[in-house]
Amino acid sequence: MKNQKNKIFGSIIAVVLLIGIVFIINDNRKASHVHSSANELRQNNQILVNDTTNEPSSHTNDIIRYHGDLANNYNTVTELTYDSEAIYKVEVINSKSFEYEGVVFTVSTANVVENYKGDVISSFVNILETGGNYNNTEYVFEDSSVLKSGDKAVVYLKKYEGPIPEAQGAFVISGVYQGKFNIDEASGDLLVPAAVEQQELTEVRSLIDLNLE
Amino acid sequence: MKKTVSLIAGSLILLTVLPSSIFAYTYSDNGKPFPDMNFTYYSTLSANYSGPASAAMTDWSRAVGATYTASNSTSKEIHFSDNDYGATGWNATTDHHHVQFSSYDYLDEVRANRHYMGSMSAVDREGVFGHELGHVFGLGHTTDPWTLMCNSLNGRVVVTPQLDDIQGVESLY
Repeated sequence: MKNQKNKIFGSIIAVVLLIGIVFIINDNRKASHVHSSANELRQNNQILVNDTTNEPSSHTNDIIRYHGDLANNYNTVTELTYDSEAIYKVEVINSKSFEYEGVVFTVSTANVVENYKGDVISSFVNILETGGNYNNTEYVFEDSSVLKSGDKAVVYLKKYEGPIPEAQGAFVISGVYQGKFNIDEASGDLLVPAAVEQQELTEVRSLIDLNLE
Repeated sequence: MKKTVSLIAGSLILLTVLPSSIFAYTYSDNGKPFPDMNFTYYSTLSANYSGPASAAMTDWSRAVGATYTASNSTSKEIHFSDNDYGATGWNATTDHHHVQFSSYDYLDEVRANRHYMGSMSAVDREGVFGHELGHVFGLGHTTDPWTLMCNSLNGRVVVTPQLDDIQGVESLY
């Protein structure tokens, strides 16, 4: 009886040890991935610095990235849907970038192809985004490029309120870029989330994932 | 014997939990933008914002030994400003400009958006500036609310650099 108990106890310990080892290996993999990515970034940065200090290259000077502290942050489709005033499938007709108090913005005029939420006052909607192409430089908020002419996307929108003259009457993307899902026609209308590492939002691939169909 | 085995098992269980909370920090696309942590800055912040920005600089100085020296010259490394940009969705941004300095080529613009930050307490503003200064070092975002590099409304509950933020900076500089 005592032997049997010892055997059971030993088995439990063995299973715990096994699980522990598996977890440790996985976590080490994650950690080394983060650090190898960091090393890649550092190497890339080294290339950037070398290029710009020794041989100025138009390519390396072309992109300026905005890193921000988001006022509204969404992790799930439900949160996005609840907080957005309008949800449209749009096709961008034209975009115009400009500078306001040192920050580059873009207002895109888009044709509303499908309305999933909110009133459609006209068949067009103006969308204000932070970033854009201005004076031969691309300004990108985190990793999200602004909409450009011809782009198709599903966008979660909120009314813009503020002083920017070009944006009066316009909407902004909920969560700056989190509520934007570009439609990739080449891959059979797959949705490409602008959000990165944003739990559920990053995994969205279709309208079904957004509960819009 | 049983005690030893229990101790080993307990330690392993603990180890499975600990690694997931280590290395939450990430790097922004620019990696290490500056050669060291001795920064010069120029501030055009209004009264309600300059205090919290100074407090944030003091926080980072204490945490990692960074120095911030006020400068009026054009070759400053950080420029602080505040404006009302409206409901753009961001409290503040930091952007890296390529400007030729002697040994490196970055100027960071830290911009506060009065639309959102106007209603914040001084302590919360300190947290936002501290977060932006983390980007100046080259840190990216985390999802751990107990780190300064977590976004405000992603549930950030701290306003000063935490161990993970410090480890992130120390791994770069």
